[in-house]
Amino acid sequence: MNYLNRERRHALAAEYVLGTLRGKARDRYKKLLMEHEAVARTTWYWERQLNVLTSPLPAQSPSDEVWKRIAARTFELQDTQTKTDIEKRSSAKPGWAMWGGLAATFILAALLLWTRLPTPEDITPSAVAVFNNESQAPLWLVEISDEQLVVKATRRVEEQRSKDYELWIVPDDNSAPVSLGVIPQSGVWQRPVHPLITQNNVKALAVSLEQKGGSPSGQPTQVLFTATLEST
Amino acid sequence: MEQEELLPLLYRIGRGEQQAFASLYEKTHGHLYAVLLKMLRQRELAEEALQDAFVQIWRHADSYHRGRGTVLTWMISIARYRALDIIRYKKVRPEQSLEDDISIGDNTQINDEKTKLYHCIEELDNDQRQAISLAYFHGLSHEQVKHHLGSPLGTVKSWIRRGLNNLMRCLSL
Repeated sequence: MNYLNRERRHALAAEYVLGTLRGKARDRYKKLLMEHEAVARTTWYWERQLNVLTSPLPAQSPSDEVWKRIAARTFELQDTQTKTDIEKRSSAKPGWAMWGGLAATFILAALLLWTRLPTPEDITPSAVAVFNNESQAPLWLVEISDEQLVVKATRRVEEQRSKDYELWIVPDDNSAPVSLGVIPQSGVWQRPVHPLITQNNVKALAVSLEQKGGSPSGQPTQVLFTATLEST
Repeated sequence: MEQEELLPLLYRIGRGEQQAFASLYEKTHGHLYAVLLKMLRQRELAEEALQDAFVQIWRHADSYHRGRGTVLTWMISIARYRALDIIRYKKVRPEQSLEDDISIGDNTQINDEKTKLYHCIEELDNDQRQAISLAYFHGLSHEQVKHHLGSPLGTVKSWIRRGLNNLMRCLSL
């Protein structure tokens, strides 16, 4: 079935957002959402349209306990993570030896990057990739955890006002690159890890230059940088 | 709730600012809870979904972008998908007394941006509008809509499919 056919894509996306796509069909759709940028964009279209329908609902009050439980789950988690992070940083320096094959300057740059940039969710990455420019200065740092892929842009990323940068997986079976989405020109971006990454079927990652909003064809237009994922 | 008000809060949440998160909760939880209560109908389940949704919002604030709609649209999506998961895994069934509040066209508080959507909703056949509304607001499956409206399953599926198709056509005009 061609999920990239526009009519089919809209039909599925609308029922996914509506909630009538159920069971295994819903699971399959979630996989498509990860694999195809066009599917994700169509889903967002329906979210934007249908969620307006909730506007007239009069607000309701949950119990005060809800906020207490949310605060306990989020802030305590953050406090614990910050503490762990500090402990990790103070004891982890010898661990960088595993990056032994890389040049010393690169290690220093990566370390600086690691400590300077904020993390949306402090995670211990299982793999990392660094996109460098022609001068081998880091542009984006990609971290993979069990569930999340986090992309951090450095200040060296060249600002493109009328273009976007898009991240791709180059599968190891030489099949067509798979889009992971448009990545930020500054700050941090994260999304669930793609199944190709968890299954270790990645030859490389690539960043392409695209028109605003991402590749119109579903394939990279102009590949600018590539990087390999290294286990930590 | 204005995007100009919520977006700066979300940006600060992305940097880990707890005060911004508390403000976002204060400004939006009443609306999100109303959406969830309508879908799940039990306060306990709706509160569980609200809690899970806000934890996700805290964790994934950085993943928001304009393509997802307004911040509130994005938050509603997170909350609704959580409610649908709860319906699926806890096998929540609609109560027999489910109200027929399918008047998604009855809205006097809309602004210009929303006018087109409501116009398009009103253009739908009654059956299509009613089936879509039961699914969207109450989280009903095709089978449950069939049961509620007393119509054959194939007819209900067709109402929803055609209704959404008509909606898309109207919105793109």
